[in-house]
Amino acid sequence: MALRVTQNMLNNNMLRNLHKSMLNMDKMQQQLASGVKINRPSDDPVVATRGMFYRSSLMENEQYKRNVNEALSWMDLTDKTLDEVGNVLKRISELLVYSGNGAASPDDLKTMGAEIEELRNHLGTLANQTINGKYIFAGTQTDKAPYDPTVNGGKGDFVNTNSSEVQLELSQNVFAAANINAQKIFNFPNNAGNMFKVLDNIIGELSGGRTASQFEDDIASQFDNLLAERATLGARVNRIQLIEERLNVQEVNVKELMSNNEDADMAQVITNLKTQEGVHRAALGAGARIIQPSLLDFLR
Amino acid sequence: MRSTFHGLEVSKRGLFAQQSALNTTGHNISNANTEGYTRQRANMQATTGIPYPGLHANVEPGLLGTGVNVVSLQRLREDFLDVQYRNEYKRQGYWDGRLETLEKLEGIMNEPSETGLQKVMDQMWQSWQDLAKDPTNTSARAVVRERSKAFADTLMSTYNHLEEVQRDLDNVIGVKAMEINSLGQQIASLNRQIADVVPHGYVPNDLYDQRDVLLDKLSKLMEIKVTPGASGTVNVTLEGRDFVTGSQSQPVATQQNANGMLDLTIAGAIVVPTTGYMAGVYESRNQIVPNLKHRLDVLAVNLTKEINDLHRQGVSLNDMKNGTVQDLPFFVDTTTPVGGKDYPKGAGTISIHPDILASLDAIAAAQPEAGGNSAGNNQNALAIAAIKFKVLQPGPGPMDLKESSSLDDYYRYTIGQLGIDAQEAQRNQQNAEMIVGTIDSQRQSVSGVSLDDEMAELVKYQHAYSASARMMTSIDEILDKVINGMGRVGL
Repeated sequence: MALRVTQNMLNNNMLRNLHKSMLNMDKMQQQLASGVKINRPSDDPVVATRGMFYRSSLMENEQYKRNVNEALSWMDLTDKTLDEVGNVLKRISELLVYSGNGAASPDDLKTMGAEIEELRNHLGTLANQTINGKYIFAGTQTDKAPYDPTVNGGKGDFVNTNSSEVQLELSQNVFAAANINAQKIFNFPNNAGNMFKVLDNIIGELSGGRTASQFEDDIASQFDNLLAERATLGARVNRIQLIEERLNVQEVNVKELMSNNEDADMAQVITNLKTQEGVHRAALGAGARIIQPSLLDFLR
Repeated sequence: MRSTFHGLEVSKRGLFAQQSALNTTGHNISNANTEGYTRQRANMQATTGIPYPGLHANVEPGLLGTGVNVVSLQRLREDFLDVQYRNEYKRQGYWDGRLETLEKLEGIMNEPSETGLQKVMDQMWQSWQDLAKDPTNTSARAVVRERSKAFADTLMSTYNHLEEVQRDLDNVIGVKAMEINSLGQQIASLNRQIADVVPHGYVPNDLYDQRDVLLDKLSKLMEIKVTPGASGTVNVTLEGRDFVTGSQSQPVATQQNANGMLDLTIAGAIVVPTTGYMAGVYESRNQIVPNLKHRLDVLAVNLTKEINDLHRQGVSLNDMKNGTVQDLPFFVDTTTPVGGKDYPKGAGTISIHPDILASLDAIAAAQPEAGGNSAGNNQNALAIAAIKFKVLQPGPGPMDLKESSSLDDYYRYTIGQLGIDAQEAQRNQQNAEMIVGTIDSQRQSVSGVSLDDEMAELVKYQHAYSASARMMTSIDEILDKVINGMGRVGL
């Protein structure tokens, strides 16, 4: 027997179809409004968990970039400070050369001694350079001034002995020190014969009206040592800049992956929506035609 | 031998029979939109002719018809479709129950989003990195504390939401138990009415319809079996236990079990639903929600343990100032007595150690150094930030991971699993709904009222009625001739 069709069946079927088509349109409408393919994990569990992963990766990346910036600004300041230290040493070696040629009178030599004393104080200030309130030449003891002007019989000295690195994580499991080992500069070659002690000796000679050219070699070796440390620092800056570059590329990559993973293709969604709209209209039209007439309409 | 008025009687029977059929048609039309109504048909049969053949009967040519009688008003229904319908309907009910819960859980977990737990965790790890960048900075410490609080709060509120869902499901079980009970009572009461009239030869079609609707509803909720009883009644078993027997129904109720949750009882004995909506709700309450809660617990316990273990070994600014080692866990259980160091026991009971709430300097960003501790040491903060990527090994304990993974992965897997479960429930629910729809269509095809059908019947019966009346008129004219026109010759 052929399937008997009743009004209620037509009604129910039509309602079911309309409901389904509305549901489809709602889904697409949501995609259009939110711009993403999925709204809940069950829409597509794989896309959802990947989306969570990419979001997490982006935040890590953002953090690493922040850490890189911090490291670079430390190093930038360190380099600038060391440059100034170099200038000071250069001026001192000039003065030493000048003190050695017989033309300088004892008064001149005393004046030189006074100038070098000022320069020595300046070096102390440079050794106490801070960034955001942290001493950059103090190893990990960033809260204590590494140069103490009151020790050494009031002449001041570099008292810090902390050679630890302040490490930052620049990408997963990649660490780099933001600081340099200040012991290698301000306590070179050792605390007893460091930069300040050499200057003490020079000042002692000059203020006594004597030449101090015999210290030229000491200052030269300090200067060479400084240059070597700056070169190491420069190499590290290069490395960190490479990491920065990579982080930037990675950010773009992850964003692209994320977009591929979850962004709705607008053209596709709109086309689908239009198609669905057509289907919906057809369903409505067909329903309106089929449901209305019954035998009643024709029997009088 | 026919009587003079034979024709009148035949016509009258015709009128009555067609009128009955017309009334049945009217009844059908009236109930075109009644839920569960089954269309009825007036079955007619020619009445016994005369003479009725017998040993001593006169022999006349042919058998003279005596008209028509309505012998039955038949319900057009197929029992097999009912069985099929109820079988599929219980499946739909089961997936309905699961899907409702899973959709709620998806809403509560709120992933992927910019506000879910994943984001909060990411921000917490970030804050430790920021502290590593600036270990002496008070605001970096404050951010660590606030992000950790946000993590604890988010976990706790998620956990509480899950408990709410669980309580809600428990409520649903109570309410549905009452519904099942009421359905049973109604079925029993219909059974009684039916048993009252059936022995007298009546066929209570409309009562049968009402009872079938109730059985449909019941089948969605739990596993039922319907067997015919005496005098048109049915007996119903619920999950294999006697539920409705004739005009008696066993009370369905709930009682609290040891876990403080409701168990379903029939006549005082506990029953566990195996299918239908109730089974979906039961599984939700006893498995789906507790499983998710457990996964959050595992996440919370392991994550706080990892942080605590490192934090206790670390050196804080307070330590450096006081020359002591505080050995302080970062997170403690909310039930921890003052001065205690109990680690959090679950996702719902995390709090920050009161000492850290009291002093930001109690956060240990540094690790001990051989030559004396220094404030700029950030090794501990780095180590804690690295927990995000640490792969934990599985263990035998109830709070151990069952597969080696990082906690980040573990959480993502949890969400993925939830998504997959919800997707499965959705698919199955849609399938079941479609099958139920198809079977219902078949049932409607047999039992549903078609107005076109009924109109055609109406026309048919109306004409038959008119014709019977016309027949009576002509008999009337014949009798008029016999009575008033005969024997009056020459008057």
